[in-house]
Amino acid sequence: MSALIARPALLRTPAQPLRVAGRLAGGLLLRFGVLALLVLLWQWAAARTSSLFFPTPAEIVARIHHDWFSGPAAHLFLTHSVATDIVPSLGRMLAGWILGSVIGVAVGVFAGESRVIRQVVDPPAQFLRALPTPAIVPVFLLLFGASTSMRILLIAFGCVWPVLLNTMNASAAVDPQRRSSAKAMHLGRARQLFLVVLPSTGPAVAAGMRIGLALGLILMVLSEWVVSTSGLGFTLITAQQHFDMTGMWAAMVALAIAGYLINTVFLAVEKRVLRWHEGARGK
Amino acid sequence: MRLHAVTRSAFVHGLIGLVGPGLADQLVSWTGLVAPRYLPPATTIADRLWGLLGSGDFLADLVHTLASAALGLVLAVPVAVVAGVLLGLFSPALQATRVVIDLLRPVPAVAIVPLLELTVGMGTRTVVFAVAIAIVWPILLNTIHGVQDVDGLAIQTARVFGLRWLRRVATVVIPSAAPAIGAGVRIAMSLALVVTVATELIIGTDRGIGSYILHASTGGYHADLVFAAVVVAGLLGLVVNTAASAAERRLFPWHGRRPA
Amino acid sequence: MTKTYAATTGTNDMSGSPDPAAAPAPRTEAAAPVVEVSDLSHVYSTDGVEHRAIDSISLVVRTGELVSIVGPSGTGKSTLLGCIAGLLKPTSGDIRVLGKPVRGVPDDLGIVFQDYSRSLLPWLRVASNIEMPLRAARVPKAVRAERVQESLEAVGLTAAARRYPWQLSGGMQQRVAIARAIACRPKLLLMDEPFASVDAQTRSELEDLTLAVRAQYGVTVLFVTHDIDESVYISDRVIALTHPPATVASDIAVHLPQPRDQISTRAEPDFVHLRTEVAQYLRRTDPS
Repeated sequence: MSALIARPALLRTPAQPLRVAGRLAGGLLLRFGVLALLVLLWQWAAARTSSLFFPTPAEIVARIHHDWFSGPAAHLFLTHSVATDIVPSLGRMLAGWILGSVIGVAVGVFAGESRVIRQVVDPPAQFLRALPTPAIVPVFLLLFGASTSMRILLIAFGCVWPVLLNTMNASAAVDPQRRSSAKAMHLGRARQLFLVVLPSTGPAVAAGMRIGLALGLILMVLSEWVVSTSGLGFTLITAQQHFDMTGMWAAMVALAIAGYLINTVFLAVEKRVLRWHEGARGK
Repeated sequence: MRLHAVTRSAFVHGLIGLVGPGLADQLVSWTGLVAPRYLPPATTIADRLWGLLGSGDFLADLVHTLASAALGLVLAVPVAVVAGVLLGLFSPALQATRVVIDLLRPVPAVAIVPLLELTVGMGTRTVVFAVAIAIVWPILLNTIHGVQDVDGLAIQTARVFGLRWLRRVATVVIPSAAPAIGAGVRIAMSLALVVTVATELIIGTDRGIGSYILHASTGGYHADLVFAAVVVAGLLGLVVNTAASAAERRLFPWHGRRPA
Repeated sequence: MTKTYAATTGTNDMSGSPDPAAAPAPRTEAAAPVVEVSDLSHVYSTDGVEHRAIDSISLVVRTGELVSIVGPSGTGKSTLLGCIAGLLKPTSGDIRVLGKPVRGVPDDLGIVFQDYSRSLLPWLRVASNIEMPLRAARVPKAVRAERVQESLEAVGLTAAARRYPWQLSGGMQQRVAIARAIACRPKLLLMDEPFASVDAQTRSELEDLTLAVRAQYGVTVLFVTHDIDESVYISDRVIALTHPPATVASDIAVHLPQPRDQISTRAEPDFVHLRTEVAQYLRRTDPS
């Protein structure tokens, strides 16, 4: 909210249902209006040019429905391929993401305590993070075979670095007066670390996890490119290879929506857990 | 040139740290966890690395990769910064486009590469556009945050002094948001390199580190060369990031400093 | 003229005015020293440049006293407090708290810092903040709850227990910090310019709160401030420091009547006389 001037507090009036509904509708219109507009534009342009490579949104939605939502009512209309492709893929991605984040925080918090350790950890972390992802997939394949754990570990490998580096830097940047306070209260090293340093790094960890989420999606797709028989990424790649453009778009849209939903949930959780940060910053 | 004591120790410690992955690799080879044919020991990789850095062809590839990444940056930075500033300043605009941004962002560059090839043309052009599309997001989001974080008081003060809107943006908003934008660009730089090499690898351009890796792995898998090139890519990322961080500290010395 | 001063004589009646027995004044014979600083010096070296913050300070604080250390900002007052608190290792000199040499943070110590937003934990509610040192000291749960309640009552913040520090005003946050410091029933309370970040009105309230807390808990207080009036108002003794390298310029006993009152005490002729004396010592040592 770019509040360039301090807004006076809204006077409290009893909420009239119509007014509230109107406001809600207005908000939704604003938020999804542009999206709807773009989709309509796309529909119009694609229908006119009837390009093979850019199917209309209508076709894509139809395909999505056909592939994933045309199942029996008992299964919430979900098809079998949701269970074999989408759920496992996203499940692996989430597992890898969380694993990577936990390791990143654990190592980062300890590494942040000593400047020497930070100087030692930082370059290899930057180096490993910069390795081209398609090139490291074969390494993981060699080490762990074409298994679920390989994919989870690969995703964890990608997600660990942003979280580790962010946590490390945030841990090092903990306000020295906060540390003095903790010491003055006779908090032992362990308590200092868990009760003071770790919560301080919360916002930085969240930022790192958000980056990790984006990376996780990429790695999920890449990990299913080689030696895979199912998965959302596999579906995408297969469609590409068979020039099944509509199928490819359907998979991409599914990926986008999945990423969007996970991100939204994460933001909501972050807001709740870190609400103290906004409050403290507001001062 | 006399390096500051802290920088010198950071350098030494960093080198020690870099030995880590090398050691791990060496151990994996020695214990036979993976056959050296597929994952060569660090010593072999280091040797090939040395050779590569002396090879004119490879260096040309390296320059090509750097140039592609740089071009991607040149495309993305102006667009992302301008968009970020505008969206940061006008929150209704941000609210309106937020959903679109959040939907587009998760789509991996990998996934859109085939589309790019078809629309933009094969080869380096696809690489550059893929990079640009991938790195727009960190710059955009960081810029938005930077602009939103600008101290309202600073802007109010400027208003009181009679500065008009454009002037205010230029002299107060942008400099205040500059450190955040700088951080975004720094992230984008590392990301640009990764995406460049990855895309070159995927689509098989004829120049660039990624293309070198691809050629070294098809027609007989030369693991030693492949990994040597991969290590070069990694080191490149490290160097770029370190340089960018140092530049950031130089340009924005006030950032991140708290009152004693 | 600077004096490197050693022992104090708390009730050496030099001012001539009798003091009413509202709060017991420390008796020299029975009052054991809580803080003994001998010949303390501290030098900061950054990037090869040395800065001598403190040069040979000696002082003693006895049980139940409220001693102020006053001097302009940046004179090493906080350094002195940091050394006494065991947060800073002095380059030379000897410090004893409650008879034991200071190695690390001494037991039975409470500290209140100037910047409450940086010392209170924003992710914990007020009650949890106050409880934190008690948990660290492994105080049993029931006792903890009782102490937290008691501390909140002592500072007048029972209604704020479930709120977050950043939801409170500056003065209230500092009260929380004080409550947190006294929850452990410390024998020594160190306060580092605690009221410098609040407005004048709140400052008066907090000064009185400090006096009330001291009376209620009988805790010894060492109070650092740059505000001369404040130092004279609340203290039993005022120690004036010189500009860096800081030494003790003067150690002045304050025999104003207890209980202190913001209006009447400050109107006392002795108050004016004492604050003038302190101000003169500080000005004398001012190089500008």
